[in-house]
Amino acid sequence: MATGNDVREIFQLKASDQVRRVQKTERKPDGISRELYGLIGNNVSTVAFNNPTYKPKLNVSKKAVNWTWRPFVNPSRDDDLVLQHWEKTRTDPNEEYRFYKFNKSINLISFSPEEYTSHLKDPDWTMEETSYLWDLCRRFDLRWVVIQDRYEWPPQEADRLALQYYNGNNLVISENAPNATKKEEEDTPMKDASAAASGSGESFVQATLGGDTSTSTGATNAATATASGSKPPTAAASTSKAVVSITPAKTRSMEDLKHRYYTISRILTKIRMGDASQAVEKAQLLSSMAYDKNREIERKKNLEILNTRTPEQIEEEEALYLEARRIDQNEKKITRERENLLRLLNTRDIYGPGGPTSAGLAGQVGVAGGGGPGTGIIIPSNSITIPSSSSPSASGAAGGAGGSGHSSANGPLSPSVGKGGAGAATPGGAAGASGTTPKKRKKAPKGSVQADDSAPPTPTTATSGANALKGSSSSNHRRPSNASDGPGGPSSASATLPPPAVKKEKLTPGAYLRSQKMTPIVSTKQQRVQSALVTLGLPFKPAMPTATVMAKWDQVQSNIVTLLDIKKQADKLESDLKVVKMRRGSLGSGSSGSSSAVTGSAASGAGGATGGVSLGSNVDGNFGVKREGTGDESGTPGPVKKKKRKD
Amino acid sequence: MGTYGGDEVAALVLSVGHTWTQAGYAGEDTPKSIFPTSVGWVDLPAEADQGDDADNSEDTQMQDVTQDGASASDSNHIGKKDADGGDVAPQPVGAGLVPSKKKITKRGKYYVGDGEISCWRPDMEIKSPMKDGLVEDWDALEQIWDHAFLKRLRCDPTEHPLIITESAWNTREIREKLTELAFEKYNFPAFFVAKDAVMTAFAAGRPHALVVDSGGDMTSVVPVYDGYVLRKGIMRQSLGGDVLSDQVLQQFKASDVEVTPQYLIAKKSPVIVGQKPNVVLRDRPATPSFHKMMQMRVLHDFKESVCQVAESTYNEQNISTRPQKPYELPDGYNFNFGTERFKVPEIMFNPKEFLKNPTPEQENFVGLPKLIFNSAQSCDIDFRPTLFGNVVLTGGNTLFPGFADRLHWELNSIPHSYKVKLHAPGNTVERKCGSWLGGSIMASLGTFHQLWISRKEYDESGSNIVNKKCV
Repeated sequence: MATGNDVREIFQLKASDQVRRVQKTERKPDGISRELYGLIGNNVSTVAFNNPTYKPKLNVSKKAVNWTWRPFVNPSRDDDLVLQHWEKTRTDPNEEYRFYKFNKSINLISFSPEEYTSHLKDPDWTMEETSYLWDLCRRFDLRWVVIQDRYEWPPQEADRLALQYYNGNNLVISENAPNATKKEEEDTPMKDASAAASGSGESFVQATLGGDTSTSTGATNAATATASGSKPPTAAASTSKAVVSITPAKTRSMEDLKHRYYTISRILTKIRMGDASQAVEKAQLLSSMAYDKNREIERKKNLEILNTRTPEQIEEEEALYLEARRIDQNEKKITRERENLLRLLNTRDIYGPGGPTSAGLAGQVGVAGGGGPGTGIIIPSNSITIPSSSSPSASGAAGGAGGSGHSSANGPLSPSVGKGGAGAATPGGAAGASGTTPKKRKKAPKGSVQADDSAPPTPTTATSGANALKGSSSSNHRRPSNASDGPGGPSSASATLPPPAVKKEKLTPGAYLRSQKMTPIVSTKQQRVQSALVTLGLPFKPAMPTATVMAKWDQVQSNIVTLLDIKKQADKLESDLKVVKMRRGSLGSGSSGSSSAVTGSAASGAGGATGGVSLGSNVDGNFGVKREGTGDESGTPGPVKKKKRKD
Repeated sequence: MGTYGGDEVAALVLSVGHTWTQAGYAGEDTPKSIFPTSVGWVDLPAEADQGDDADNSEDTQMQDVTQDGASASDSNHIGKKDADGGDVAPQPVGAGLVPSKKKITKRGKYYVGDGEISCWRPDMEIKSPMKDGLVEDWDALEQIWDHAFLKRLRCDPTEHPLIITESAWNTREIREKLTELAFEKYNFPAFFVAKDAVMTAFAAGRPHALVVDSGGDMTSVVPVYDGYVLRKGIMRQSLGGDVLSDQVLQQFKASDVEVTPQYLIAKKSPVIVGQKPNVVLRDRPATPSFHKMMQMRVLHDFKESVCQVAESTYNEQNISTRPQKPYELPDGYNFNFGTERFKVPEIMFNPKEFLKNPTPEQENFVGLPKLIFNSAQSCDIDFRPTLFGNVVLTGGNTLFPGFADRLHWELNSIPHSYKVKLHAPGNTVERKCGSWLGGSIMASLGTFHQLWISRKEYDESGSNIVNKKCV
């Protein structure tokens, strides 16, 4: 709705009093709801109204700036070229040209011929060439790429003239050069010094070209010409002409040029800034002039190599790098694990050498050779890949224990061996055993269902240690080391590694989701369990939590946990064994074991020599614990697990 | 104003390329005038007195490249009306031409500008005064300057400074003569010669660049460092648009198709695809140079409307699946071009394979990516990444569709570990007039005005001053 103000604005009149626009909102009378009042009340519409913003009006009150077309002179030029341009009418007629301040040139440290002869001599360089370099540096403001591009010694006459032109009227100054070059110390103005330098260079070239040395240049220059002429081993002043014409054009690399420049700059700075008061400044300057020619050459060479790699090489390099990193990380991981182990060992030492734990472990080691109870280790190892087969395989293994103790543990053979060896296998177990092969997996659930049905089924029904296991609670399997606190005998050692016990069903009131009933994993282990699930190609949670699936799932999970625990323990065991072996080694081969633990482990290691080793290999193979010294070092965990899954 | 940094002094910018000449005022974004560099003239019958003033015809110049440098005084006449037009570019100063004795003709009226030279005249010769980026025919060049300043811009040369562009490998002698021309004949108050590669980099807003310029006459790659050309990195070969046009012409000839330019056609009627044209020709005898130029125009149009560059390596099978494009020659002959249209610009990338019937010189041509790579390789290793990151594409011959993409692809497939960044302005004017544009920008900068060669400096130092001030 157009208001008076809008109209005013359209006509570009001055807006009426702005204050009037802001209407006072009336208070809502009591007894009417806010919403209703909003509709009927005498207040602002609910639609937000933005005051339109117009372009600011043209401010004609200011006077237009006057521009004039006028000639100007640029003070950066030495001639009085008059160009014309538009500019704001000046108030100050003597105003400097606006762009004069941008006319900057670099300050080069220049040198006099005396300084050159006393300090700056270089067998590879003549003074003329050096001053030519200086001219180039000044001409191109130390743009080294350009300097190197244009560097040509001896220079063409025209180039030389052009350079001299650029560097000021050297001809004029060089006539004054004798004065300047007489006694030049730190106080000599740089310009003069440079003029002297280039002047002398010029005189040299003139001399070499057979020009007139006597006309413009004084005695000093002639002297420098001789001095410089005598510098190269081949030439004297008189023969310098020949020198120039004979010597082929030198090619100097950028490193040569830079090296020369920075060396001279450093020397000159050192000479001239003798005052102690300038020490800091000097040090700064010197550090800014640091130049290591060889390093630069090396660097560029390496760059060159780097840049001429073929794509295949680059690929290979990257692969190698990744590999190296992986190895490095593995190394770190192993050392960390080892440290942890050592720490654990130390804690165990508190119990003493004959402590229960070590005894238990030793027992296990011994057992592996013996048969029966050793299967306790094997059970979960199989179970990790084929979830349902944990108990059956145990039985199978147990059976195998009767036949051939440790070969049973070796993957694929175990089910068949178990079957053949032990008729004691339960039906479920048999089913599970047959289910170990992926093809027959279907059957496996049945077995587990059966197991589920039959109260708390003892998975290792065939084992002699089954009784001991019965008592172990579901939580037991998570603390294998605790379990080993029990009787240290070999037979009871099997109790240290309880097979996954089935948890007790807790009855919950009302309806519930089965997924809620998943056994929670201790948070510290959660990650490792999850990574194990990932390697198995399983999701973190079952997608369809039916009763069978959940039962399976729980079994898998608990098996994984057991596996992890066993792995840990195996590690411990190994290191234990090692320590003991080392100790034995240090005691000497003849001496008998001093402590029971030592004897126990010695028995495991020596008595059941094959058993010990084979256990080692089993453990190794199954759990992927990296160890040195065992025969079948099977490498990283990944591939091992894969192998097992095939089983 | 502070950030703008411009200070315009109404300078003129002139860029004379092999094919096109661009002229205009500094500070503008497009040249005021673009016309062909080629000039036409009609030879006058031979004169009786064959003195020093006699102008040489085109072909005598070619023969008289060798000389004894006796007529040193000739060079002083440069820039005057009666100057010896036969001075060949690479000759040292003071060496003129000894007029040939056998055939001396005088050039009559000159014809400059698109309308003038494309109009049929019996006996009109056509020639570009530029060859390989160097001025070859000074008389013709003067005509071009005249045309640009007096007929097109219609300005008073004494009031404006002039900046011209030159090729990066221009010789001292040519620059000196240009300076003489500017000061002696036209009386410019100030003058400057800038390298076209530097100007192109400038137009692209880059202090460092690897300028890839592919024009009608030749292709060059010039590294530019902070506004200076790196002479040792200049790579060039005379493989340009004209060679491609020639190849197209050969192709037509091979398939027995005559390219008849427009000026010869009196009447034509439509024919079906691939059939002989049904055309009535005019009887217009012309010089071979004129006929060639008109043919080239047709072929130029053909290239512009039909040709295309394959995006990656040329693959006959892939290419044959691309849609064909019809093209009709001025005489009515028309055809659908399939793989042929890809083969033509492919010469730029793979001359060894695609250049048919190469001359001995052409056998040494290398592909453009190789040329670029060689150029960058000849520069300091620390500077190479910058160069590869600032490849600037310019010149009319780079305007084939897909040219930039292909070049980028090719540069990346050469093994190196640099990141290649290609700057190819999409605007055709920018691509065609890159160097003019850079000159326009530079001459309108406040900080530039200290670099002009002034009349006074010229008077003091002579034409040699140009080599001192413009590097």
